[in-house]
Amino acid sequence: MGRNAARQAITLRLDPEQFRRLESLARAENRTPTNYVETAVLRDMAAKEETTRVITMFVAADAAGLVPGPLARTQGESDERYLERSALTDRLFAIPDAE
Amino acid sequence: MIAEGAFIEVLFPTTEKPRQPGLPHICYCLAVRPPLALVAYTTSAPWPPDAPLPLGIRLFTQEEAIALNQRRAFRLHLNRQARVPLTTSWIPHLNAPNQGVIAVAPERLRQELYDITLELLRRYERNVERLGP
Repeated sequence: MGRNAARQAITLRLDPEQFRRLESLARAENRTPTNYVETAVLRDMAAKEETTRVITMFVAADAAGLVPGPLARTQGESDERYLERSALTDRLFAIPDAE
Repeated sequence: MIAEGAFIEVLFPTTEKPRQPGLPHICYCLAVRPPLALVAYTTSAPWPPDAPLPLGIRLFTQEEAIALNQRRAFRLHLNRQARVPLTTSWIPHLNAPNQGVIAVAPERLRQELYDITLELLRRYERNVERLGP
């Protein structure tokens, strides 16, 4: 079954002037008007979903098997703050990929 | 050099391709633990007006942006993070003399962002405990 077979098509009606603006914006990003609208809708949906999530973590494919080493110190950082940050980053690095 | 508090350009992954290098965004570095870095997303795109601003998003005015060597007002999403390898495929200017660091947040701002991250993490862990991972 092709990629489009399960996808729902919708009809969008725009005034000619609005469509010309859409074409121009899409062209500037090397997109078709359809792809531009799809991307804008997906981004808006993602922003709204984000309001219901606490942390969204993306893990790079080439990072998945890598073990994080010791935390790099910042300039002039005290031992106390370094230990606090190390503990925080241990917990952050334990968050699984959002997928 | 890249460390907590640095703003750096990262090819932050997109929602559509969440595990691959995506579009160039200035990101805030939360931590460096070689061979990995943990970065948070920023954007200058406007937030949808009818969507509430969740915990973890810090708005920067144009004045604040300029102080951080950035041209436009932007928002930092501490709630949108990526763990990426310290390589040029993710951090394009990594091999530059300053590793592509655009600005470093002053201590007070770093502490503010640290406190927000800590609160986010507490909420995240409470949700995981209650709802499961």
